[in-house]
Amino acid sequence: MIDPRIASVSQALEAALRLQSLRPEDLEATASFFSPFEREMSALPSPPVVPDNAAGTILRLLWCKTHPENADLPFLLNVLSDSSPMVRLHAVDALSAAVDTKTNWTDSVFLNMAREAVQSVAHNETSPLLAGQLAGVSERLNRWARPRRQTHARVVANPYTAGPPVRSPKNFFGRSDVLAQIGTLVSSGGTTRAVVLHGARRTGKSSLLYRIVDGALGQEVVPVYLDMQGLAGSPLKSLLRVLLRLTWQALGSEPDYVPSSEPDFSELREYFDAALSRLGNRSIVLMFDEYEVLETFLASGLGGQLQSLLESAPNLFIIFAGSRKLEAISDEAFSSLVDLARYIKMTFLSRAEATRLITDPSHGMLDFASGVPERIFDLTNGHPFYTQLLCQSLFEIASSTSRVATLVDVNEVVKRFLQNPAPHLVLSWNTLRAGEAAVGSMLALLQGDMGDAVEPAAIAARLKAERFPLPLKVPAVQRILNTLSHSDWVAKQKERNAYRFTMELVRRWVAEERPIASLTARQELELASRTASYMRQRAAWALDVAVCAVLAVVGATIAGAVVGAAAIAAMTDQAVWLIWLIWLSAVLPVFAYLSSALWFGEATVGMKAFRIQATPAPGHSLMSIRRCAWIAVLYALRLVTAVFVVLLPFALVLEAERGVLVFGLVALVLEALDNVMIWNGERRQGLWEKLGGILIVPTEALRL
Amino acid sequence: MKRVVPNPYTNRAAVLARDQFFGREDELSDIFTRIHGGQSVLLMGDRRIGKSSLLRAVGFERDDALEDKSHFVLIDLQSLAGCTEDTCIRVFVKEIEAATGVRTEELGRAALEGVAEGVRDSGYRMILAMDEFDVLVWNEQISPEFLANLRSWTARYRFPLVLAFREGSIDRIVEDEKFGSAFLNLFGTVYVGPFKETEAQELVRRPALDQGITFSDEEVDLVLDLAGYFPLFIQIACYHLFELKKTSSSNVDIEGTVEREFLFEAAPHMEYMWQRLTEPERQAVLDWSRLGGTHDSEAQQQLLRRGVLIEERRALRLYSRVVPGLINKWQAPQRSISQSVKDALWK
Repeated sequence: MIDPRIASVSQALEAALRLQSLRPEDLEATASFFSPFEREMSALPSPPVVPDNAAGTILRLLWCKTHPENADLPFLLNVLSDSSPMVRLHAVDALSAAVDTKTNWTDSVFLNMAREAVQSVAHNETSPLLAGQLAGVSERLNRWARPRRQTHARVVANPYTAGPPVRSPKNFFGRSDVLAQIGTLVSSGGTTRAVVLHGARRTGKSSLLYRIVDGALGQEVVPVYLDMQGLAGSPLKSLLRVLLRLTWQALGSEPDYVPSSEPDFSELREYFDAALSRLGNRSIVLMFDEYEVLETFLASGLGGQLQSLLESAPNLFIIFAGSRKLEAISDEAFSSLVDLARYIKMTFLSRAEATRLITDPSHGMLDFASGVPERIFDLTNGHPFYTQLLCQSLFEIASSTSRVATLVDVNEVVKRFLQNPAPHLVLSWNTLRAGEAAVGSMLALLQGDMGDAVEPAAIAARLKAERFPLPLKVPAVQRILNTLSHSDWVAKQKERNAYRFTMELVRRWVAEERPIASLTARQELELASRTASYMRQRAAWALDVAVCAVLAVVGATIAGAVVGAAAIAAMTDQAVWLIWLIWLSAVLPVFAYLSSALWFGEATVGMKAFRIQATPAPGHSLMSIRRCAWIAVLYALRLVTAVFVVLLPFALVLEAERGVLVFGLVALVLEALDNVMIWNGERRQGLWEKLGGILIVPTEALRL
Repeated sequence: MKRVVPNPYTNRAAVLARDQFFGREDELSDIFTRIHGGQSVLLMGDRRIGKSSLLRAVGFERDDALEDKSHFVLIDLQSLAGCTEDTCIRVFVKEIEAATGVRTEELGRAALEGVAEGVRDSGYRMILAMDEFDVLVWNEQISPEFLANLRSWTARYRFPLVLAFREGSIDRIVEDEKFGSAFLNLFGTVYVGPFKETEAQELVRRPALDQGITFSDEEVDLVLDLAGYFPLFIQIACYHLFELKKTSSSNVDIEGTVEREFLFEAAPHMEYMWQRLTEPERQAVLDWSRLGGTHDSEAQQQLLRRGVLIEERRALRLYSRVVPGLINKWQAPQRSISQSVKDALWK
């Protein structure tokens, strides 16, 4: 039975709704319109019985909204998809009010049903406002979802750090020699006022600088550390502002000076002059981490300013730390600055330092079975990053099962590393040039698990046997091995000219994940995708035709002059043989030229002039003498067809013999096919290159 | 409202609620261990394997796993395709403000410093998770310097980053020149592969059980025979099985119907997975489907790792029994006549 009071309110609402055209988006209008009805419903202690129409439904929804703890949730969910936007608006409001109460949501079946219903309605809702509100309701409903799993065991702190720089002194091992060298240079006040700390990434340069920040050089040194990566792409004034602010903070933030927001070189100069003179015997050590970024600031004269500061202040010292070669930076002032610097290379830790790094951080938490630290050192050669990485993984595996790390655990760690290598390794490998990668891969293969050092000649011979499509002869391999040893990939044996990987772990990854077969296939595809353009190939060939013509004329002339005159005089009836002799004298130099040019330089004169070169096509062997001779024959044939094509119009005009015409037509077809293949072929491979199994590529594509 | 039983296997994208997330105990443990040590994490794995769900699970589970109180900020970078650096920074700052309650008045890069200082001063750690990071890397408006700044910013304030890429192979990720910077050096990688058998079984049984429906052992086997241990495929197979179980009478051919419906929905995803295999891996799958084994042990290992082959009751099998039937279709893509003529001429 409907209460008369409710019935009259419902009628009033229905009438008002007919007069008003409201949308959910009209927030203020709807709020003021429904406000009296909401007040009316909030006063009711129990849900009203309402007429079965939109107004009645809205009244019931208003009651639910004002009594969220007693709201009829199934009813709310049911009317969420009502055709009236005003009903939907109030259903969403009521549900939103009820969603944070604790009734009903503990029933997981009902909760899931509600979540699905809300998501479905939100998906179909035409009003953007209601759709957004429903998404919010859905999100809040998700909070009622019970955690599916039991509470996690707290993560045990892994004492090894592989990735970010080591900040804690107790986790920093070794490098005492480097710190001592820098300390001596700083305190001596000599002419060497800068250090270039270089070495591959992840060798611990930043960690060392953090040690200096922590006071490793003593109380007489005021360290100022700048991470240049954070200033990449910033203007010079930002660098100056940060440099001044950090120095100011390191010196104790003197109140009589506050760095300006847009400092220039004069402010920098004035501040440093004043600060350094006040310091007396103490020194400022400026540390530029990732010095490569400095290059972008050098054009504005930063190098000169730093050099000038260093020259005028004996208690200023600069450390540049980075991984790129400083020779690549061309700024003159900066070059003279670093020319006077001491270069210190960061490489591997000693066995004793590495053993401390392996065992000390987990002391009391993990024991190492006999031979485990030695095995880790054998795998990493004391490289701090890889040592930390293996130990981190080892700690995770061993501490979850027992308190002792065994050799079996080490094998598991290595297996995981090979399956899931550190990005640093892949990244470093990918920076290698094709020739470097091939030599590295072959060395990894030949060195094998026994760790035998390998000579360059053996690598070159095996690369040839594997048909690696770049010209890697012994001198080139030797050069590449030297380059790889500079970046610590490989090391040369002291007693003989043989090389091996510095880290067994890396060697195994290279041997397994970067095998020479896949590098060869990749390089072949790379070359096939970089073949020289039609115009470049044709221009080179035109030049070669000219060279061949000169050689043919010279050869024929000499043959004719030396042999022909006498022979013609003596045996006029044998003239046909003499013609052949002269013809041969013309062809032979051409053949000799083409085959020797291809054999010695893998390019003819025309190719050299237009900077292109012949290389084996995928699936073909490298350029042997026999192959060069065969290609020379093919090129000689290409020359002959060109000659016949040129002569064909004359033959037609002069009504030459049928045989000559047939030759001319065949030559025309071959020439056309050759041109079409170069113009439109997938690899721009002409007819004769196809038969010879070669590609014509720009010289730069074959750079080692 | 008619009280219908909702189907709990509707997740086709990232899982958004804690109770819908299953498995990945080892991966979560690995991630939290690294985060605890201050290291940033890169989630590697094939597409649709569950990296985005795992990323969100870091947010659900962090309070249980980590001692320190932490804010979890999740930024889905998909919406930032083509945006400028300023827009990216604005979005980053807005999301951090929303998740941490910290406010800054600064603009541009200074705003990043402002919120970072605010979070640090609040005594909380911040775990910054970014989904679809490829979008940022491949955005031409984002310079390598921006990534360098990001690296420096996270290192200085010691906020671990947890990134998920669309791209599954680290080789393909690092091919991008922007990663020639030191950015990726910060990261440890966590491989996200298919489920373990126990995890797969839990995903099959538990959601149905929560709705009052029990799958029999034979039905669980049917699902795993069709879907292997891939969460997406399990969701698809279970969805159809659940629909049948809740509505049908006993005379319906459950096995045939589920397989048919599963094929219809899952086949495109399976084909995509096939296309992503390397040539030796495809050959090994062919060998397995035709001969029941392969001689290429290297490819077999890779397939096992990717979940294409699975070890069950000490024997190996292809992840789904429908794969052999689909391979023939995938192997013979239709070629145009002009393409065939061109191939004949040039190859």
